[in-house]
Amino acid sequence: MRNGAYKNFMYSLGGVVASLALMITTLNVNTTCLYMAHQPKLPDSAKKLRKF
Amino acid sequence: MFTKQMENLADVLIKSEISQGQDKDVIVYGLSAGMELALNILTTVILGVMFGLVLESLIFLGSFAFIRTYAGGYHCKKAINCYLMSNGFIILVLSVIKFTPEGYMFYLGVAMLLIAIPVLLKLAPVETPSKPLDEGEQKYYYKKTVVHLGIESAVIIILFLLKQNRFSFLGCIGIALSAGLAFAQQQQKKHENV
Repeated sequence: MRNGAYKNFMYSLGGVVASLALMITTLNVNTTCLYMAHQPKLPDSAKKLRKF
Repeated sequence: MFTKQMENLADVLIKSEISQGQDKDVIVYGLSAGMELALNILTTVILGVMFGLVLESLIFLGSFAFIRTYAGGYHCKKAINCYLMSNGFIILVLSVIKFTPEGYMFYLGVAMLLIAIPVLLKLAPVETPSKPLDEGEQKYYYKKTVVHLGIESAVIIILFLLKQNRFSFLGCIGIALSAGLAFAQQQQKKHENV
């Protein structure tokens, strides 16, 4: 029972992390740069996230 | 900076089928950029605590990012250099805020805006080798830069009128630093093309 709850929690956490990663890549595709953080080259597959 | 670790994490997310069908590259990019962004923001807050200027450090961060995200500008080639340079700027800005007498902030702020706004209107958006901009992006980001400059300038004027010189001065520094970095990238681009 406890093990199942832990697995569910980790699964949800993974979902949040994946959503955040997607959000940040989308943000980077739709802006010239993010704050002062380093900006590596965007992967080609990220271009489909462009909103304009 | 964290690419290797983030690749391992992305592998786990993809294997567990919780990556929402996204490519590994997109997930790795988002995770690495997110980690670097979080580290930068955390360091800014820590520096704010050390200077006793937490609110000021957050206001500067907001005012700078508001323009920088569309105007673009200089980036270091290595992540660690970008991190060190960013935090060097934060230390510099917080020192300026700490030691500049409030009476001078209005005049200094106005002088900064008089130089920075024309520079940004002329140069923005500035592309980098890692983020080249096509014609559509150039137009879109220029419009966004103009709108953001208008909003931020209006907020700065209101804050000056409310005698909140310290906060409006922070906005002026944010715009001036964005203009400085846009100018630096433009100069580097010219230098590389020669």
